[in-house]
Amino acid sequence: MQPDPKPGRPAHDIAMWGAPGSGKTTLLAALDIALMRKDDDWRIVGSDPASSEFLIERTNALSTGKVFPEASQGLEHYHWTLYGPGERHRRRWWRRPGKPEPFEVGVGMIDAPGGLFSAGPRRLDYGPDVLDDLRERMLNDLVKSLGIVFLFDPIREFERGDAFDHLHPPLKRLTERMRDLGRLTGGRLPHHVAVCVTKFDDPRVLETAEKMHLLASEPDDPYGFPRVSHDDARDLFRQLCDLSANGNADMVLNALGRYFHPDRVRFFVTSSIGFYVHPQTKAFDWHDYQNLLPEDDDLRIRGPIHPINVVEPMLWLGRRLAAEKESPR
Amino acid sequence: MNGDGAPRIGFEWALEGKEHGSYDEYGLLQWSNERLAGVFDELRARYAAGTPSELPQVTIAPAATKDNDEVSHNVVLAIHTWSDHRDFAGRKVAYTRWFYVPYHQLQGHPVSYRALYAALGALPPAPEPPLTVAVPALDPRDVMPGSDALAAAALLASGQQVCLVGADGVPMAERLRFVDTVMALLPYGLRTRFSAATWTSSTTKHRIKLSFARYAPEGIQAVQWGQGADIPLDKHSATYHRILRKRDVDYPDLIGWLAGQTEPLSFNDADRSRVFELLRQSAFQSPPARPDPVPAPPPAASGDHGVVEVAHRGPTVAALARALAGASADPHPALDALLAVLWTQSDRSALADALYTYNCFQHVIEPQEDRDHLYERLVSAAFQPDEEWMWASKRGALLAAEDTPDPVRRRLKALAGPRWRRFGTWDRRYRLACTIGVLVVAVAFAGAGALQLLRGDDPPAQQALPPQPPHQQVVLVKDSAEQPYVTAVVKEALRRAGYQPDDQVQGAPSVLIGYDPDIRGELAVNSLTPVGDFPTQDILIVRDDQEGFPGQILVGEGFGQDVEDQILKHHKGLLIIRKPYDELKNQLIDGKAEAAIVPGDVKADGYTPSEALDDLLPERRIVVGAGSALKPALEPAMDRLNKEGVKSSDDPQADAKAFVDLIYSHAPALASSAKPVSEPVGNSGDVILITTVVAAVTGLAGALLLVRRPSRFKGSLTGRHRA
Repeated sequence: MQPDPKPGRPAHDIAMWGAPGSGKTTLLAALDIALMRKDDDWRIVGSDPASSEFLIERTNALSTGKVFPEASQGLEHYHWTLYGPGERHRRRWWRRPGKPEPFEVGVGMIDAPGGLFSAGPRRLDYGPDVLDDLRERMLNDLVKSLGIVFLFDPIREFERGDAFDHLHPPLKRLTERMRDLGRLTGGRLPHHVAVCVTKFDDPRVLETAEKMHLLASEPDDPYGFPRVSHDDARDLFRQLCDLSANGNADMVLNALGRYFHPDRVRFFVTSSIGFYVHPQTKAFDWHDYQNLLPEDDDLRIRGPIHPINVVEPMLWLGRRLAAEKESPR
Repeated sequence: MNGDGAPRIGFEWALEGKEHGSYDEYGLLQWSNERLAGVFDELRARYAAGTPSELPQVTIAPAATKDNDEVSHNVVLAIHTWSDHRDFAGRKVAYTRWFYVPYHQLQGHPVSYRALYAALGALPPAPEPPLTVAVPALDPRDVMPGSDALAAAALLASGQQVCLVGADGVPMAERLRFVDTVMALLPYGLRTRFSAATWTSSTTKHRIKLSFARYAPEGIQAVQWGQGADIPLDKHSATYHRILRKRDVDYPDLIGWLAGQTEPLSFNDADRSRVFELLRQSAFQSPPARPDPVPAPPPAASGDHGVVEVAHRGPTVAALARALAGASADPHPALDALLAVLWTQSDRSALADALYTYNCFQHVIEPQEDRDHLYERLVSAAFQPDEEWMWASKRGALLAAEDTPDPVRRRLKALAGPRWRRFGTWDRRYRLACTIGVLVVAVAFAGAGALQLLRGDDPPAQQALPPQPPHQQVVLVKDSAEQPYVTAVVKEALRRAGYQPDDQVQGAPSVLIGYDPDIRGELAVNSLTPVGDFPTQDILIVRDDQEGFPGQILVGEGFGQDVEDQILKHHKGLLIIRKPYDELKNQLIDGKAEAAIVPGDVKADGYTPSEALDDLLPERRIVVGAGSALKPALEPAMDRLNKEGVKSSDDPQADAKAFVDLIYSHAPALASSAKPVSEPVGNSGDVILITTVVAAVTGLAGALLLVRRPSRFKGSLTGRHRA
């Protein structure tokens, strides 16, 4: 039998939430690559063999095989631990600052097929309030989670426009369930939410950000990749909502603001595969940056993976949840 | 498994997937019955096994429907395959074909899941009415339960979820066969509540009763493929396991009888006592009412037609073994037919003989992807742990045979197990003899100790007698690999330790040099264990005046036939001539050979190594085996040889001497700073102490053996029937 995750370690469930094909599993698959690409000392380790195996196999498939994960067909639970450099204690008048304690947080990631976030099959004869087994389990997982990574796929929204359809039904059900459990705080859900605007590497998203003058490079980034800071990410999100195919995307932003505490929601602009870097120049090139190209009725990843803002949402959530555990409300 | 002529059963179906380029989640695309579409939707949510990496796979699920308060049970089979479609994100789309079979049809005509899979899987993606299919009846003789199936059945019977681990390379068809085997050991009526999946994700929480995964999810009992599981000592599973393992149970009878128990049953507490009652009836009493004889499946349409037909007429093991040895491309049906008739000790004995006669059927098994599993099935069927008296000599013969494949060899070696384990199953008289022997030795040691104590005023000996110089001991070194440098190193190391190596005397070798795995059998026969193991590669050497690729190549007599075949395949018209090694050597010395393939450590004047065959000459491993007494003498040299590798040598003797010199050049410095190698054993106090301790330990061992329960002597604690 698979051993339980190491006992005694802080563990926080974080649920992935997003429409089909928004990149939930790909973002998880890119997590280890993103940590490896960072200069600091962050690491992710599986807390059980199956979770380790996901990291190994998916990371290899994405980085070496350049293969995206297949569409999820069930609820997957991964147990990982994030290890990172600690923060030095603040100096007190009675003691010198101590050695930084390494940061360690256990996360239980829940990856669900995007279709589970829709209203549900209409064919069931059991009435609208009765959920099928998988949706019921997914909702229970959301109830147990303290953090949510919500993925907003601007390309799908532009072409299809159903992000709200994949946010609203489970959000209503979750709120009802949490209310019944007496766990709403100030009438809102207590979760911390990292909203990830995905597919930043797509020209339509990058150029929208560029037109809004939201791009900047980090000074220590050797490739000079353009990024959108999390302060500006909300503005980009709003702008992309205006391009929605059915014009409902603004309700996504409003729903997030009304159901969750605004100070517990942070926006990130992310790309799991990042931009193409020419092997010789080793720098971002505005004239040749697409890392995903169509080929024979398929999509091909051209070069090495350079995830952008993939690990930051996890670290933000990990830190938030760890801090909350230390000083519960 | 062709069902032509077999009774037909009705079914409904639904197809799950995505349209090409779809933005949607997986859903039902087509179905045969609108009323059942909702049921399929619910089933695919309830029995979701995760995101598969390899297809096809099969899921089995139960479904119950209610009509006017009357519950109808159904067996659902889902076949997962890849489609040609991709969704909007370019991801492959899997199709799941759901089939829904009303259970009442199976009550009068029990079938296996494999038969259902074969019949339903052959249908087009959207079958047209009439929705019926011919499915042959379950054949109890087709089931051969192993320890894993017995454990899984016992655990399922006690209401636990079971996950098979360690079956990563096992094909889906074999996994489905395993599911059939497990369910054949339970009353048929449990199929109204049974679910199984030939693959599940280790990170998915599910409710599937019997699943396969790389790691068992939390809360699910793991059973190791091919091995079984420790059965928890709860009342139900242990009881069921004990009943199933009773060797006087006739499995075809048991399975046939259980297949007739078709009243719907559940795995929960309410029906558990009924399930156990049924099994008890089947195992301990004469079956009250054997069901009607199940119709034999019709002959297969494949090339193994004859094998199946022979099996129905009740063929002998020998006939089926002959059929397996002569099987064409796919040996599975012939092997299944052979294993299906092994019900008595004489059957198993005949199979063990057949393994020897037909070289473990390796000519038909080796090309198969699941060859290890096939070998394992054969060996575990022929060599039952309780029948060692029957197969001990056959096992020895197979181990000694050069052609015995490695998987068989490993399995046979594992059969021996640690001595202390087997001791518990010895016959009483042997154990008593052993116990008395130990006590006699203990008394002798105690007497010697007492005597030494009485003579305690004797002056202690100042110096131990020098050990018997081993230089008089002749050690026979046999080199089967024709490795002159390694042989020279071995001989030199033995000389340094005072032995007299010889390769001419007659008798059993004390040191054996050969290629892995060919040498393993000979090592086992001579009770030698490996002390050195290092890689080497044969090389092609070509006479310097030879232009172009040679027309003739000399090789040693032990040169691999498969390698020769490969070379000839790539170099048409080439002549490969086998010669005894001495003759080959002489031809090289005389410069008569155009070219030769020789061990990598050989050099010859007038010949130059060529890379022309490097891709075809595989790396091999040289193994040096020796008796335990010689290990200390050889280990330093073998360790260093392993680190440095086997090198080319013009003069193996001189190079080996220099090599061994290098090892022992540090010895004096070490010796001067350390304790003497052997402490003189002259102190009578030490002798008394040692003698007393040995006597105490031996006496204690004897006492323990005496006080153990008599039942243990019969081996009944393991619950196994002794022949």
